[in-house]
Amino acid sequence: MDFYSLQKELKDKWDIDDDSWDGLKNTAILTFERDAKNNNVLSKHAGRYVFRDKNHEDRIFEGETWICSLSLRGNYYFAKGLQRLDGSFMLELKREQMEDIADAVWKGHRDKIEPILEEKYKEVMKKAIGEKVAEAVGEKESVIRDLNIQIETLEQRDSENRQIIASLEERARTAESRPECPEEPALRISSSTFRVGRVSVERTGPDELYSNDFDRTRYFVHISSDYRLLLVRPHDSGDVVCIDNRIMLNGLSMALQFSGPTQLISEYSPEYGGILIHLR
Amino acid sequence: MIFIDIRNVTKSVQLNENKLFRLDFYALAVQLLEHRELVAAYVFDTRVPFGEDDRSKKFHDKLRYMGYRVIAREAYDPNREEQKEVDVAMACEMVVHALRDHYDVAIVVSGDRDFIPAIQQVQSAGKKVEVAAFANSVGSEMRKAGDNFHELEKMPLLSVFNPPKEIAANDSEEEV
Repeated sequence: MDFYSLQKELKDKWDIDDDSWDGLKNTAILTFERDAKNNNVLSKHAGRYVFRDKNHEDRIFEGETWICSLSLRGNYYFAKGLQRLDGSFMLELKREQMEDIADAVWKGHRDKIEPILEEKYKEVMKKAIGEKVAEAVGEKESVIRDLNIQIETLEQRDSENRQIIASLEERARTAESRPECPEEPALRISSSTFRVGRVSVERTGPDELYSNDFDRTRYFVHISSDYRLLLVRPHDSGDVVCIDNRIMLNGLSMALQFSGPTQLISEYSPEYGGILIHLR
Repeated sequence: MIFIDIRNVTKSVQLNENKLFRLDFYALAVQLLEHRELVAAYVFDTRVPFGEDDRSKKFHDKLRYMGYRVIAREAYDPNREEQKEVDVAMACEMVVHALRDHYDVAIVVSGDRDFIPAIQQVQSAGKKVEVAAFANSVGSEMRKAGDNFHELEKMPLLSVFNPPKEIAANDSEEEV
């Protein structure tokens, strides 16, 4: 539909009277170009040349499209600019107006627009999908990392437990092969958790401690940062495994040099709930 | 109630600690308490804004799992590698809880003397304040600020573990 047909349709639709119609009829959308001789900026309407009204020459320029009010003088129309049609005009449209324009453009020029939009949106979609995929992969990787850490911890715990079981089985076998000794008490008094006083702890290797009182399978071991105190606290979830009354401690030789087996001053500390060993 | 300025503690322990030992925050709280009843243990730190990769999140979660209340401010300046707001947040928490009579003793784990005014306010509210810090991060003013001072380097707080190679070697021998 051209602009004139639209005007006629609106005249009927809104029941515009003839006087008003004359004004509306003389409104046109025109694009102004420079003539062949490069002298004037002009356009064409209803088979006649349209020049710029003398008061509008400094408003309407070459290459611009305007909604103009036209007045016929002699054989020529003279245009007064009402609204320039450019990007800013398009952006000031209401959403419904934009949708109408988009619909009209889509219906009329779908075959031309489709490939342009396809190229444009392919890139945008590709980028968006890539970002989403990377995000999902990142999340999955972090979950996998966490699970791997858990597996490693469980494997470590499992290998420790197997060592403990092996040592206990060995102890049980030795006990079974030993002849019965009725004088030996059924329960060892030292296995009670309520102990006080001095404890015998021997350093048997650079990273190894031995004591008859290390009679549990797991301990928490803490050292003071001045490397003077070592606390050995029995606990079922302890990080340090005790096998055959011996505990191996990573880094003990760094904290205190080993110069042969030595007895360490140690005591059971009710305050800390474990064996407190004085390293220096 | 325990208040820990975490970066001050970890910074000073890094100087002492070799890679084989790790500071045990659970042991820290237990040993500072000395069998007293714990009302709450707060840890103050910073974190990166929501949505960014936060490396300290796991550490904070671990502390929360231990029972700490972690207050992490979104105020880390990566250019100057400085924490912002943390000291004031901790000072406010100390004073507010003291004025509301939530605790009898505040244990401040930091060697930063910026806390001295807050400690004085808590003391003037009728509460006892104990300061705990490593010797390499505390000055004489801060040592004297509290009613009691705990020398952290003399407390068995660093976790010791089995040698990993030893376990692995024994394990493989067993399997053979």
